[in-house]
Amino acid sequence: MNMKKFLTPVKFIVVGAIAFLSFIDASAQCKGFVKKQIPKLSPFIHNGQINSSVLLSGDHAELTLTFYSGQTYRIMVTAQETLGDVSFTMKDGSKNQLFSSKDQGKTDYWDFTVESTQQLTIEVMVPDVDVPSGLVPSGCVSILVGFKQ
Amino acid sequence: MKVLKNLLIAGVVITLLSPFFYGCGNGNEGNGETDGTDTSDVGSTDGMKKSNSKTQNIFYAIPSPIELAQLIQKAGAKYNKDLLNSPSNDNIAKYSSNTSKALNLGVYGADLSYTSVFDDNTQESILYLACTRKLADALGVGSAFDEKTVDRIQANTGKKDSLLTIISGSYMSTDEMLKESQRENASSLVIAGGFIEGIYLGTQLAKTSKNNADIIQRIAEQKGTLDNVIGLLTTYEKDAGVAPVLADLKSMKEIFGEVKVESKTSSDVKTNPSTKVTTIGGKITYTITPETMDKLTTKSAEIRNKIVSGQN
Repeated sequence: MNMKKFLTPVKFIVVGAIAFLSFIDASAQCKGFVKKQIPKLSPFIHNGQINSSVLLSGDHAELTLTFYSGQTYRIMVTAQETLGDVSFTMKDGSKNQLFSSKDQGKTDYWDFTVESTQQLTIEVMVPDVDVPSGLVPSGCVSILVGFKQ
Repeated sequence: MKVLKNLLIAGVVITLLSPFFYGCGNGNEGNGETDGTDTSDVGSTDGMKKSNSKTQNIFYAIPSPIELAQLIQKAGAKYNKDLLNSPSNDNIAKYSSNTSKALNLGVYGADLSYTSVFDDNTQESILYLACTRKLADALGVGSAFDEKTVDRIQANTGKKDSLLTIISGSYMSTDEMLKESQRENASSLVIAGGFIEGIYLGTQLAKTSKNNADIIQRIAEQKGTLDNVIGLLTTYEKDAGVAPVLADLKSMKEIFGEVKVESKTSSDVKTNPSTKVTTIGGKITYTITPETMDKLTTKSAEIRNKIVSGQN
């Protein structure tokens, strides 16, 4: 048997193993990462919900929440540096885009109020990155919601 | 021999990695559904719907009982401690099953939020904190409500925002610990218990308040949130503890189905240049008839009383 031909799949599997171990590491780090972001919501009160996930390059994730009239909200989307410039948008129930972080100088938060109580969807986009090593970058992304009257 | 050695290495690596491959795929590709068993997998998503070519996990996030309590208070409700679940030890002793403990942890959490949004209730907040702590201890997540939390609440007497931040932190830690120990079903029951107590308190306060239009409005606005809670519990519908609560919430949904939601104008956005706060316009109305409100009051009391009497 040709050793070079045999070692190619082994190399592929080992690279895959390293990728998965990186993914597990990112998952473990997610908890600490989210907790560090919460103080940044101040002076808004965190709503107590943890919305976080380990995402891969090219992933999209969305979260739909009810926002109430009379409250002011801060939505904050933060990501580990390994993922690059993660962006987010906000859409109403009819899928009309209300906000895009890309249009606001890559900000990681948005403060807003709603005149009528309604459900809004936050969509998070992780940029697709071509990595020569074949290891797909992964990292923690958190969506935090704060409110005040 | 070298070939054999490499084959052995490859075999070991494949064996070690195979659970991850199965965990990521999980048979859900492209169908947008989850069977509720994959939430502890590496890369699971808390509260997010994640979409790429390989994974589709659907979860729902709901507003916390803290926010609902604050909305009800702002709508003009008066404090009435008689509506809250009894904080006695005898009462807590009734909650013997893990389902009952999780549901009532949510109930006491909502009661704690309620006591904290009104002024001058620090002693009662501490009493309800003790209840949540006992149940959290019984579920093995007691450190979310430790002595430090009690000290911080005492040190922040009269500072409502600080109290709510402390409670929010404890609520988050509970949720986190339950999820870490792969008890997402218990976490969903805590959320359901808190939501049901919130609706119960809101409807009872509406019944006993003279100027109750704003409170009723806030109750009607829970229609979408109830859908989110049902979506969350549906993920664990095969769990024997979750199934009856889900059935109860579905019966509540039938009543909420009578709430008419109308979108009258489309959303427009305007940003205040000095505060940088954007206002999302658009008129959406929630209409609930007195008959529907009565049905909802009765139904929420029925479901809530089942929970607090330890029948789950």
